[in-house]
Amino acid sequence: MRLHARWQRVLVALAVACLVSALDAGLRSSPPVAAQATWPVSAEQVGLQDLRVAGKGQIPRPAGALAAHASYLLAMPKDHAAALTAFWFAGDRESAPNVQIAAAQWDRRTQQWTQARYVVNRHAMGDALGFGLRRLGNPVAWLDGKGRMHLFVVATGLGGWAAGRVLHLRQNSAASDLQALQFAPVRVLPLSWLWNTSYLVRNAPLQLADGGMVLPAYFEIGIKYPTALRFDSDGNFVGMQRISARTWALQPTLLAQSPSQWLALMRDTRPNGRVITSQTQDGGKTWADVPDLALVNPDSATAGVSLTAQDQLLVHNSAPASREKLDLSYSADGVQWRKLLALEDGVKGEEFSYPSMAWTDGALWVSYTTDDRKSIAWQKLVPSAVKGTP
Amino acid sequence: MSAQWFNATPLLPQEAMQYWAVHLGWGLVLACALVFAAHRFGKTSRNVVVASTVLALVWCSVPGPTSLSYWLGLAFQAPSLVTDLLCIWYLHHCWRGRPTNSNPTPGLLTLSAAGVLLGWVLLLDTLALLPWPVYAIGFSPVATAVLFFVALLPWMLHGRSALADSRTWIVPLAVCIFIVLRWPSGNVWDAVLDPSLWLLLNGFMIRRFSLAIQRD
Repeated sequence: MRLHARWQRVLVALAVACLVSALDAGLRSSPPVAAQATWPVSAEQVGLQDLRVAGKGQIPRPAGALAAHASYLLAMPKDHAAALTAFWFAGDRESAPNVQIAAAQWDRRTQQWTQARYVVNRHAMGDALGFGLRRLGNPVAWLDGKGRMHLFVVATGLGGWAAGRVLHLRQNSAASDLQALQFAPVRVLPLSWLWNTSYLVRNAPLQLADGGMVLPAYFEIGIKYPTALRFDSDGNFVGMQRISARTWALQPTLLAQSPSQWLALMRDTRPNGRVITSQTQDGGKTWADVPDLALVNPDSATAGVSLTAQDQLLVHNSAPASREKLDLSYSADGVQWRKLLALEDGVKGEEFSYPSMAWTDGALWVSYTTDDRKSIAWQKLVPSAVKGTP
Repeated sequence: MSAQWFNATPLLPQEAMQYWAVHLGWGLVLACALVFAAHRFGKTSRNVVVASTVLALVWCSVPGPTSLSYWLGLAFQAPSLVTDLLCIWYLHHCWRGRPTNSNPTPGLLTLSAAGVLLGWVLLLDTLALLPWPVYAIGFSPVATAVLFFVALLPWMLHGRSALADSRTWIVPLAVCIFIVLRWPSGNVWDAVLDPSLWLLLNGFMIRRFSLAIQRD
């Protein structure tokens, strides 16, 4: 009799659990469609294998900023007054209490950068969230299906960068002109059980055909591993997936060779490192580690972009154990790479690092940290077949 | 590696809900800490319980760095719903003058052991030592169902005697509240177990285990 009663309770518990699950599932929106990547350039665009420098300089700093690092370039819509918005973190030094997220825009009419201003302040964001943010860094920006700007920023808790969390911000100003641009926090993304700590972002999202995107992220405390975070066209978080089984790979950059076949190229934290690679054949549902590339990686950040399915570009440090050389390389398949340009060829001790790329107005724009992490340099590259601009 | 995207879209809490998950959660934890400290000094009246609770909730609701929850949230984000409900249970028992340190029932020990095991699985998952994306599964309604079923283990195993300790109903209640509010993060593991609670459960189970060995 007692055994019979116990089994009855088990069946009742099963039934109630199923009801609870059905209620939970019923409150959710439909699952996202299969992820299909898109490209910023039409397949007919020629000359992407042969680029030349058409302009360079430094992005103006906000008044009083002594340090700048980890820039990100966001291509703006064709009808916007600005071609690009650049974000980076600036303050007295990296990890200083006064570090904020700064921004500047490349004005289409004047063909110059606007004066920079701060757009994200940790104190204001902390007040809005209800809890403190110790430091800010590594901004990554994206335009959603409604043209609103989203910003993903590393916001640390107790500890250094290894205690980072990913803060998701969304534009809450009517206009995205630099002087009007404002952001409000959406949430700190829930990515880790361990006090939601040690996830960071760095590289550009991969745009999807449904208007959403896949944001590369990585876990950093102790071991390092890369993750992909998917968002829908409104910027709602819809899932996460680990990219690699390796525990020494971070800062993934995503390249799309077909709508559902992507490569993730990653930074290698080991001595004598190479660019680490992982691949998906099903739009990010499953990933498999593949052999490292021949490209040297001196434990430094890279930036990759697929302009078309057959044109992949990568900005990376190419000297072993240093960041004094910064190269732009090209590949048709993401595996075999050849150097296109030496963007920087510095002397021992110099650092050119944390690059970012964007394609807009028929040109490839590159930004990176320079000048001992005091400035952000930029270069504009055009296909050599394009006449005109020196 | 062959982990999958999860078909169910995560449902995360509204921004305002997250704000209150931090303030209310830490307010309850602080209230318990104040009442516990007061009891240590022999102050056990209802007024002490009420005053401590009001003080803690007000202090943690103040916006900005003046609030203790501002700093606790910086370090630890929000406590789990189970932690919140345990705090409410503790405050209620203190207010009613009921004992809070009676011997744990078999049902409570079962749940505590399950919590310890879950925490170890989540920690190993965080450190990428498991082949399955356990934390990501917590966004799925499948996890909600499994958790709810496991939370009813005390009742399944022990029947009505499980009702004797109201703490055995906290986990199923937390899951139900999670489904409606999605507190604190939209992930059901965060709703039932935070690392701080897990550490306390480890200490609790180690102590029970050592007492059991001594008796033997």
